[in-house]
Amino acid sequence: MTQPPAPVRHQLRPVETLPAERESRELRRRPPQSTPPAPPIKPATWEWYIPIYFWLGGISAGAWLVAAAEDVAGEGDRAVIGTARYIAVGSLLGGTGLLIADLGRPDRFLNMLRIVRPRSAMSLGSWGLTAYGGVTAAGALLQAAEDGLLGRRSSLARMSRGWVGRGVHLGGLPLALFVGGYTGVLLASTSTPSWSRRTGTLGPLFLSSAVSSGVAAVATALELRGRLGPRVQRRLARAEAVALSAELLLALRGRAHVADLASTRAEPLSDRAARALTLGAGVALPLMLEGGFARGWGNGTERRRKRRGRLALRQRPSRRKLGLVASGLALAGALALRFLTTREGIRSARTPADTWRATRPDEAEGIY
Amino acid sequence: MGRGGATTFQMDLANADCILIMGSNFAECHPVGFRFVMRARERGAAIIHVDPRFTRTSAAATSYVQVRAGTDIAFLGGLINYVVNSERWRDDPFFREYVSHYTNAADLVHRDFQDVAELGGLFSGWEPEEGCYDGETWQYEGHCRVVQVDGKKQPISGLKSGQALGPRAGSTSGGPPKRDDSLEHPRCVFQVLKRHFAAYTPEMVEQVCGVPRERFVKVAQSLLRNSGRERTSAIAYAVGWTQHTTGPQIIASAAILQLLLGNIGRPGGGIQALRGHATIQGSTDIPTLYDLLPGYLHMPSSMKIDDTLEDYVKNEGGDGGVWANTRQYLVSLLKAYFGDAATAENEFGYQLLPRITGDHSHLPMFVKMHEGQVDGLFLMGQNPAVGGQNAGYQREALARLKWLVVRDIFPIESATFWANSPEVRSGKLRPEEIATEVFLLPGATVAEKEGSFTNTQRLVQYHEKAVDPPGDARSEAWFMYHLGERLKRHYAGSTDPKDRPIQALTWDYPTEGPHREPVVDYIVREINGYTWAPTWDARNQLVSYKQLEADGSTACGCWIYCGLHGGQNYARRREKGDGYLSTRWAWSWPSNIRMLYNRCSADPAGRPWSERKKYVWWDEASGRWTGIGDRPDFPADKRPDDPGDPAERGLARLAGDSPFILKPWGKAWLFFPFGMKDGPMPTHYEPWETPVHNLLYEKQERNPMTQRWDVPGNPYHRIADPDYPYVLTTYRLTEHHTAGGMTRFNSWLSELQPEAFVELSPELAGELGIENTGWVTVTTARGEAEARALVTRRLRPLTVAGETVHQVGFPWHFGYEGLARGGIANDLIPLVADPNVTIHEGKVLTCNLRPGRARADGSAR
Amino acid sequence: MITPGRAYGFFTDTTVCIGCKACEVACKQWNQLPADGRELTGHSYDNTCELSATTWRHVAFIEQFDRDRFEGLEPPAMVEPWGNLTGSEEWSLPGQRWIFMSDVCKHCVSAPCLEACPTGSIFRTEFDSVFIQQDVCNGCGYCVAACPFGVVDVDKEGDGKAHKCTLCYDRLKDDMQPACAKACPTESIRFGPVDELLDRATDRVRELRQRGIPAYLYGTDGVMEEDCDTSQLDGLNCFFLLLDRPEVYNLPPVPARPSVNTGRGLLATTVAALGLTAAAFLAFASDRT
Ligand SMILES: Nc1nc2c(c(=O)[nH]1)N[C@H]1C(S)=C(S)[C@@H](COP(=O)(O)OP(=O)(O)OC[C@H]3O[C@@H](n4cnc5c(=O)[nH]c(N)nc54)[C@H](O)[C@@H]3O)O[C@H]1N2
Ligand SMILES: Nc1nc2c(c(=O)[nH]1)N[C@H]1C(S)=C(S)[C@@H](COP(=O)(O)OP(=O)(O)OC[C@H]3O[C@@H](n4cnc5c(=O)[nH]c(N)nc54)[C@H](O)[C@@H]3O)O[C@H]1N2
Ligand code: SF4
Ligand code: SF4
Ligand code: SF4
Ligand code: SF4
Ligand code: SF4
Ligand SMILES: [Mo]
Repeated sequence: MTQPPAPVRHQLRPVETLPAERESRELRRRPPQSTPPAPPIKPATWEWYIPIYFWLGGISAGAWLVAAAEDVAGEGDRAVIGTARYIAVGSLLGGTGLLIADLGRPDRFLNMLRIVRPRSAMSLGSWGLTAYGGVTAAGALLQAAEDGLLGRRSSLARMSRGWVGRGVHLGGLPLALFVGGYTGVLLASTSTPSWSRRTGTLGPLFLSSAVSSGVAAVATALELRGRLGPRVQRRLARAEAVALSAELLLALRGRAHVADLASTRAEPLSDRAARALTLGAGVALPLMLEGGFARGWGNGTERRRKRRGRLALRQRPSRRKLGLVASGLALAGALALRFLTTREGIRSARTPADTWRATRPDEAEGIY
Repeated sequence: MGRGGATTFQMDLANADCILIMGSNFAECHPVGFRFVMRARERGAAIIHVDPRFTRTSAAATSYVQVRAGTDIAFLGGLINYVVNSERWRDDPFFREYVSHYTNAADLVHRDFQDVAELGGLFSGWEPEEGCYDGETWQYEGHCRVVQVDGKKQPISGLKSGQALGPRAGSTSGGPPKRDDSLEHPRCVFQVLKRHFAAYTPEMVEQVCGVPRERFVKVAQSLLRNSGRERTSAIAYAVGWTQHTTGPQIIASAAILQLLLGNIGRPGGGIQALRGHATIQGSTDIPTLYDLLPGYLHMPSSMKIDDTLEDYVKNEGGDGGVWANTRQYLVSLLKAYFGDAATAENEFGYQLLPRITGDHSHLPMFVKMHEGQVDGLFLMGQNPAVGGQNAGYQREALARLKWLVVRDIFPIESATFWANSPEVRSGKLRPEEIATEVFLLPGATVAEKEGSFTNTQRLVQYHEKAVDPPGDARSEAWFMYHLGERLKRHYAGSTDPKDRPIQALTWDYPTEGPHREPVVDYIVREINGYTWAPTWDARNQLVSYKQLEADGSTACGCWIYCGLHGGQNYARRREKGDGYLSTRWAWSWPSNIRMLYNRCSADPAGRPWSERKKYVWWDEASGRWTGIGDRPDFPADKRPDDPGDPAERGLARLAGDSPFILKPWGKAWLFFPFGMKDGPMPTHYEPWETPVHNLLYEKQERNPMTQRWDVPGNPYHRIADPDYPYVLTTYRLTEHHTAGGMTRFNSWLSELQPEAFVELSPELAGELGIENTGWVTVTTARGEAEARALVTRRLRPLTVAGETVHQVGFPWHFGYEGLARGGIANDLIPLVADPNVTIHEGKVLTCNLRPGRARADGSAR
Repeated sequence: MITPGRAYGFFTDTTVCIGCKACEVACKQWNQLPADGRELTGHSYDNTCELSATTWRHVAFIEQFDRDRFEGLEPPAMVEPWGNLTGSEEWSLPGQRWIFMSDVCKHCVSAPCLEACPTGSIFRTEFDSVFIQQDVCNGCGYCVAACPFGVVDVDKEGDGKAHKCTLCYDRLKDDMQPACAKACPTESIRFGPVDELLDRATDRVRELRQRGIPAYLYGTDGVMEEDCDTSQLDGLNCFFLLLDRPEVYNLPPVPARPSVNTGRGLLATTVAALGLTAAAFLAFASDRT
């Protein structure tokens, strides 16, 4: 095949301005009154699978961060690490399944790996996802060895507990974080005004929400397995609180970026309420609870814990419930946030004024 | 103008300095030809669209004038009046020179002629008992129309001039008309005309048409400014003009206007008749009409004047010009029909031709059918269940046939009326009670057969077969050929004289292929004409109609097409040429002439009127007419100063400054001594159904000769009927074709206009509480039709004589079959027609509207 | 002669379009696209409404009539369609007009859809057009969200792949001009080498402006309309001559190139990632005994 030609430079000879033209330019500035029958851009075609994929991918990434942090910086609690590893691989598998299901031609998923295209967030994401998929698989393998699923005295289990495990955790961490955050960048790199306006915040927002939901997922799983000790819980709660604060700040900041869009201003009450609920009950409330846990709230005093000694693992039932609620809210909040963001984008793409506004900010008023 | 076709060709529109499009939605219905209008616009021409609706044509025009439907004669009459009284017309000698030489402006009219103004809306000669005119006083001074019966002359006014008499029948006695070249004589055509149109002032136009007078004056000035030696204007029309009870008179008004402006026969001028179906021109040249034989020869009537070939030839060709050779044309035609059975002894089989007993055109035929007088019908490429006026009535008529053959490419409404029509759905007709046996035979489409199209500019273009038709689908040629063969076999032994024509018919087309398809090229050869011989090998193709003989030595299927296959099938020619004349692209009748009456493009002395507008001129050196490439539509060596010989017949009689070779004395008519049944000049009558009264004539508000059918199922509205206050007009959309057989079954076209709609203004919609895309039902005394409302500012109310008149538009394409469906506009329209050609008035009537859907029983009230 | 290695495109002159939709139908026929089968929309004569996976050409209908065009002003006494392009006749206010624009894929020089496509299904052909390889596309739909003109779409009901105008790649290879341009009766759609089209278009704009008509070109980076700029895409190989502001034709005045957001977004995310990692590690480390 012949090589594509060099693009034509669209350089034109100047056309002189005539007086009549200036006058008619004024005419052109009058608001057009006939509204086109369809919006100027197309909303993303994705179904409900995609926000769930965003969420699951985020959980996986957050869980991996927990595994790494626990392994490298924390006390190396094997239960925490194991749970996190399994969550990372499980949610990633589920998410990838949904991602593939959403394709128009799922059988062609592998075509994503035909090329690397640095300008395409989707291409980068596919590669990131694939690489990270390998990482989580390695993590799962190591954990399986630890758990004795690969035979009694596997040397892999030893390696998993040692520097090899730490290496995998640390080495995989950038990939995990990429998978947690690229989805926001993916949305920002479209023509949808509500998303592209938030280029600076969508990636970080999705990432912090990934961390919060990942941590919450690990906490929940540990709690359900009855392996969430107060110290672990406090560690997790601290991390969770940081992530949730970031999430809240970024969500509000992003909101400011789109405040002037017509689709935002004309947002239906139901959507506003849903957002308030998400940020309130899905972010702020768990943030408060986790903040409390982080400060050791509800765990009794250090002394009492010491007295109870080994029993310290068993916690007061109300507190356990509260922990589960906080984690559950954070998880639900993260999911709702994905859905809301997607929905905002689709509404924005369907609102012509958003497109005009995004491209001609100074005088979008008065157009439709 | 005397010929059934456009005087010019569409490419020539690009040379116009002004184009008046009126009575046509040029851009939507003739988009390919419209490119030449766009080219003219890009060259700076003014494009004026006068129409009741703002259409895609208006959108591309430089000016748009909204007019009340059915008032075109008032508008054109206003233009005529404005033009002849304008300073420009008086001061530029061009106009007077053109008009006095090339038209009958100087001829003196009968002393007893009285105009409508004197008689309150009627011309002189009205016979109230007969309901028709005696045209005696419409003659030139000292002239008399005579017919020959049994070889003896008698005045035509003695005959009852019903439908059976062709408009050309008879001849004029009295020699060349008397003239006053100064155009000052009070009875010269010019003065008569001027007086006639004096009442058509801009104020009158405003009152009648609803056009603000400044708008009207601008149009008039545009036309004037763009006519003359250096500039020319063209007029384009289509069925927005023809489908009126005054249709032919509207076109006559345009002809008068163009002649007065000196725009006929000149580049960028002329009248562009935008014809309909792809070969509708061809189907009048070689007619599917009951009253014509090929080449516009009239079918002999049952009246005594046509009893013998001798009389027919005298009466049909009596008046000089090209028609003087009618005998050659007819004898050659008879020879082609009957071959060896046509001899000098038996008048070449003239007596085998059927005779016309009355009007058997579409509408009267369906009335007869409705009355149960017709047994069987072939519908070949026609869909009257949707396209016919008062379509509900026509469907009922179909239900009274014994048998019906529909040859079509889809199961159209006319084939399924017994199962799916609104009448069946409402229970008015019950399938089990309909005795009609319907045969739906699949036709081959254009691409599946070979043949030709004659387009709007008389250009005959050939198309080859691309694929074989599927299954049992067969071409029309196959069907007709094999039907003919079977009929001949069936009647072979008959001794009944009425079967003689079928026995005598030559039917010797060679066939080919497994289905014995007749070879179309031989049909073309027969149309072209050949020297008579019993076998094809011995037949020599003719090259010009001038070779036709009256002694039976030549056979010719259609004299105006003679030359089409003179040596080769010229319709097959595909040399692009200059894209303007392109005279080697196909072939146009007559004699491959592209612009008719092109002698007019030179001044009386034979010099081009101007360098810019030169086309055909006299070349003294060679002693011939020559030009930029087209053939002169004039005897090639007749000098411009040839005085003509009044004693001679045919072209020899014409003077060298008489370009209109089909007219008796070569002059175009500003005043029609004969040929029009309803008056020698156009005058404004209101449409048959109208919301307002006629401002000109209190008594005679509508055309006195309107053909009406007072039969059950065809009630009319009164003038200014308060029950039906709105004007309704019907029209086409680019996206669909006529009754929809070719488009509503096609998904790509159907998605573009998916269902029937009615266009109305926001003002009217507001008044009636109708919403955009909501249902609306249109009612008339004939029935009702439902559609979606399309509320648009492209329609706006008019002020007519101080009152608001709302116009409503209803595309008539839709029906109950196919993919795009909806209410049938024609269910609303009455059977009513003009007197000259029995064309229905589908373009204007009155109606009422209401929001919501039609009643289930489909009843009118 | 259509030569590979040269950039081809369309110059669509809306001032000569008569809204006949022949281009739309020709495209469907040549490419054997199914009808969308809609109902009457009530939007002028536009019942196909938009470009889609099965409509690759779409003719927009814009009705502008005095009273609502000039809100609050009386309709001008003399109503003329916009189309007074003659100069020979008086040119009054464009109070009444019905304009048509045949829309199509712009074949952007820096095409967002191409940049977005993760499979490499979209590529630039030897005619400098933007083409979707049907045997590669997996229907991820990212090109749909990326296109700033709402052109490309995934055929969800059909084969699940993305579709749009191919610039009649198959015809160009056989030295035939695109079906739509071929069908256009008024030469509103002109097909040709982009450099030649640009010259012609510039001349046309000059000619119209001399007649007092406010024409300008949309889709070139030589900005001819002050509010309108397509330079982020380095120009469009299919560009338009317009009379009213782009929004009226449903075109974004300043179409963006979404891929520029990818780098910025990733940078911000990296910063956030570092911050969150540090925070998490600290959170865990503080418990170490
Ligand atoms: N796309 C398409 N093209 C076609 C056809 C088709 O069905 N579809 N049909 C073909 C055929 S068979 C024919 S005959 C031709 C017809 O071609 P046209 O005559 O151009 O078509 P119509 O739309 O029937 O009518 C033309 C215009 O007349 C206007 N009109 C109605 N009443 C009046 C009146 O009283 N005065 C004036 N001045 N105007 C009036 C209508 O508003 C309409 O805009 O088109 C041919 N071409
Ligand atoms: N109200 C109103 N009524 C009108 C008009 C109007 O303007 N207003 N216009 C009038 C005019 S101008 C006309 S021309 C008539 C048209 O009215 P019709 O002639 O009754 O309608 P068409 O749909 O053109 O019918 C042609 C049929 O031929 C079929 N056909 C196509 N190709 C072939 C072929 O090769 N062989 C065969 N056997 N069949 C084929 C098509 O499928 C179609 O069904 O309607 C008239 N009716
Ligand atoms: S449909 Fe045929 S006849 Fe009518 S404009 Fe198109 S090409 Fe011409
Ligand atoms: S217009 Fe849209 S689909 Fe076409 S090349 Fe540009 S970005 Fe791609
Ligand atoms: S839908 Fe197809 S063409 Fe579009 S981005 Fe995905 S793979 Fe590429
Ligand atoms: S270039 Fe071909 S594919 Fe593109 S719009 Fe035209 S006909 Fe359709
Ligand atoms: S074919 Fe040409 S004139 Fe017709 S709608 Fe398309 S661009 Fe306009
Ligand atoms: Mo027609």
